[in-house]
Amino acid sequence: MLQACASYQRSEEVTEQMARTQVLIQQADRSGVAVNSLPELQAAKGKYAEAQKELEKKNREGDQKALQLAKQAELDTQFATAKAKSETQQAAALDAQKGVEDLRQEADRKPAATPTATP
Amino acid sequence: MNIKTSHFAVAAAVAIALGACSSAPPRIDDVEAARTAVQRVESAPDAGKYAAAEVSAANQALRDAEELAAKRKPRKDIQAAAYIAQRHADIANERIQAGQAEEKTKAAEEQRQKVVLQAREQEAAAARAQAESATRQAQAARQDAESLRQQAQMATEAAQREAAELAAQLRDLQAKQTERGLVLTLGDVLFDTGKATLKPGAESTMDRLSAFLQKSPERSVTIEGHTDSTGSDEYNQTLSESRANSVKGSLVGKGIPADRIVAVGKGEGVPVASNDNAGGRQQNRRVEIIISNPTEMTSKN
Repeated sequence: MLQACASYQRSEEVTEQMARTQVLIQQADRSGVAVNSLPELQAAKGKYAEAQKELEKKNREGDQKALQLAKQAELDTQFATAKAKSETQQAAALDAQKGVEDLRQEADRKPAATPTATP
Repeated sequence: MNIKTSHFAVAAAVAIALGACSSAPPRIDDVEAARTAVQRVESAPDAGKYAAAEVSAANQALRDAEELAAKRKPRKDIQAAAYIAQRHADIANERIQAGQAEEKTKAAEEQRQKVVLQAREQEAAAARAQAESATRQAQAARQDAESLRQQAQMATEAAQREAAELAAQLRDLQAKQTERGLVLTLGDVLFDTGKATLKPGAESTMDRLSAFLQKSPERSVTIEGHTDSTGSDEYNQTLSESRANSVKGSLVGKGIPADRIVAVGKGEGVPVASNDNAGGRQQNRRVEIIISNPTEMTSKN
């Protein structure tokens, strides 16, 4: 048991995963993802915080749990980001389609009487 | 030998037991859900276009989860792998939707430009139509002016023709231009001897005279009756008046207002030839019709 403790060394994989997840969460925060997909991002942050706690145990089991949680948090963040982008794009598509419809109706209402639009 | 056999039997039993176990890995709900999600996103249109990497990662994670399940690894590890598969599928799904939405936006933008272009084309067409209509109007105005000019010319020509006609008529009537105006002499052959009634032979002369007067409303007429010296002065005076009035009556009957005509009898007092011979007397028996010159053309000629 003592021997096991003495020979413990944290794997690179865990450290890298933690760093990657942290960077992703920060990026998501900066890009305003939180506004669109708050629950997903909150879940990711919660898992990341849990992972940090697991790391404090400084043992192999804690590291494994932390790795798993950080990996999930990474995917949760990517999902939150993708969802936010998708929602923004869909709203933009609806806007653009409505814009065309409005323009077309305006053009139909006054056929060639006055210029309808000049960019 | 016995021992060997028993060893073999044990090994076989273990193999059978293991085989039985591996043939039916436990069903785990998370894995099933992840499989459904992965399959759905994999078969979505545009999956390869917008989320190829995510879909392949989801498939990999799903295979990991299935392998862990087959090896009867701890449930939480299997669930963790299934979670990863599920999340990759979720991310793929969002990427596809984002890509499709982006396409819609692009299509809408193209539509918008098309509508704007169309509106501009309609505008240009309207401007063209307006310009054409203005040109047509200008042409119509030019044509109107031309036709007015032609009408004026025709009117001028008609007036000239009419003037020429009048001149011709005057020539036909053998009117003479004198200081008093145009003088037309009706010979005595147009009256019966001693009578004042115009003979039918005078009719065509009276028609031409009235036509001329109608076309020259500014002219008035003096009709003078004359006789030769045969008979009493009184008789000749009365006869000359009657014949003058007869001519006036004829003109009035043809529509010339009476106030444009003055009829007088001059008796035998104004002979134009000698009363000593028959030829001279015949010349003196006459009715003279003096047509005044119009006020504009003062009698110089």
